[in-house]
Amino acid sequence: MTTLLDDYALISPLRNRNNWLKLIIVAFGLLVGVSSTSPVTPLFIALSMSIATVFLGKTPLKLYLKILTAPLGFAFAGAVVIFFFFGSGSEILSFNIFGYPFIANSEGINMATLVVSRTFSGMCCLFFLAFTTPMVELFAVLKKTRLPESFIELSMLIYRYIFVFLDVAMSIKYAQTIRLGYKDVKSSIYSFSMLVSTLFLQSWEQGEKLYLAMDSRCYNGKMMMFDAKRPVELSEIITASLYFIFILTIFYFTKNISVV
Amino acid sequence: MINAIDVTNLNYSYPDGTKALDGIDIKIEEGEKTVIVGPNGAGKTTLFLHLNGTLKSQGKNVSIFGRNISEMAIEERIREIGIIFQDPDDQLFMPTVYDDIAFGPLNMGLENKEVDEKVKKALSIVGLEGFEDKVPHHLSYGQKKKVAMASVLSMEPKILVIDEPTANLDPRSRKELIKLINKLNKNQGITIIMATHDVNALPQLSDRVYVLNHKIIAQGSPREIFSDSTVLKENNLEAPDVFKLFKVLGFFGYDYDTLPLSIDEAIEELTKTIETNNGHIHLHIHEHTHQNIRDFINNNDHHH
Repeated sequence: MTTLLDDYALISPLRNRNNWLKLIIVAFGLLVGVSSTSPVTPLFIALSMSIATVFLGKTPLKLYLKILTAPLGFAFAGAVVIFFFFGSGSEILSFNIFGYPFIANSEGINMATLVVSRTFSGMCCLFFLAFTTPMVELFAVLKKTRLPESFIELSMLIYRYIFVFLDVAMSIKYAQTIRLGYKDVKSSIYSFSMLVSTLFLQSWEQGEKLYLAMDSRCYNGKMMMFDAKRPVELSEIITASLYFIFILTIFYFTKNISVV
Repeated sequence: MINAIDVTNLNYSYPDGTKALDGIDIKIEEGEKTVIVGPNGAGKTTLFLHLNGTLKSQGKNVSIFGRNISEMAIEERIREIGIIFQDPDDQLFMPTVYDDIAFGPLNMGLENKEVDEKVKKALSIVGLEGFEDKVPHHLSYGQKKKVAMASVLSMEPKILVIDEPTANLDPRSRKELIKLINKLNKNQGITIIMATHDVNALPQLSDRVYVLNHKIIAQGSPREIFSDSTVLKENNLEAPDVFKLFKVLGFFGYDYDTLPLSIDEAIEELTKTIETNNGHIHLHIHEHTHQNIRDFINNNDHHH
């Protein structure tokens, strides 16, 4: 049984908070983080979002760090390139590898730290949303936007059947593995193609059953969705506002700070 | 008296020409519990799909409360008859439990507040209060089965068609589901018609049994059906274990009034016998005992 991000979001205590409030906080964090000119504000946002995710959202710390490493790895790889090949200014570091000069200068290092910190804060904001707001809560939000009904309804059905087919795929994979279906490359390719085609046929059949299921409950083109009424509490608004003001203050006073 | 379900001379062939249903006649009174038994592929599910009008027959073969089902609008049909599939994963298609149970009432055109009440009521009937915002893939099979029932009960149908209510359930969920079905029948007067292979549960779940094998082979009370060993053998069926045990006890000289179908009835029967025999049960082996038991075992063995 695999556990998806959505599974953590479903049991997170922050699930029961107002969806719009969470969305606004995340949007604010994203915008301020990306538009910041110093690495201080994004790093502070990243830290506060991480604390919120792990302590308020009760996400396992180990899992959270593990999931963060992948995007951070990319960010650092990009930063290394920027560090050596971008910008001008006073030279900080230089060396030769096989006759190629590698020169790092002050503007490059500033830009690299800024890119990493912005990426970091953006990731933390999005993970906060992913770990505290399951898909089923977002459907209600989507419905309030002016997106076409059929688009939302399709995504609801798709969401449900992702899990049904995941189960089917895993049991087929298991059945193949215990009969040595993945013992070498050739058999793996064959087994995997069988798995995919079986899954396709099953989803086709499931579609017909779905039609039957909807028809026997007189589907006429209307779907309702679970929209638990979770009004924003005054204390939440005050806390969020204080957080916003605090971030903006940091943003203002640190705008000229850079590493070098 | 108008029957809840009236099926007369219903025929159905699969697209490849194989006859699935052949001249089916079934009459079910309101408030009755009816069980359809029969081997796999006997046409039980096909029959059920005719009952809620998903499959349509050419003639006027199926009536619900005296009205021909093919003339009823879908909203009317759904109000009268609800169908619960064997596999809850085929039935539950919405992201959350609440959405799924609300689906039917909402499509019946009810107001949101009313829908909400129906969802709450359906959940409390199946004993899953507080499960509204759960997602189906976090539920156990037994819970999914109950949610599937709630998703039909929220439409408050007068007749429930249930395909294999006890299949694949653990003993506790099985017991709960049997209790639930009987409660719905007794307290709300819902007419129940179901298919099952669970012969040990059957006596508690049925007033009347039909044996279906493309045709109606036999009908009667559970005791009548289980007493007919030829019908059982020819249709891959068997009697409840308790029933068979008392038959065997009979060969050992136990003198019964009626063969019990369930543990409860067995206790009653044993108590009665012991009380009339000064606190004893007399068993013995007579000259035909072994032969009788051999015959009985052979007769129950489907390999021969």
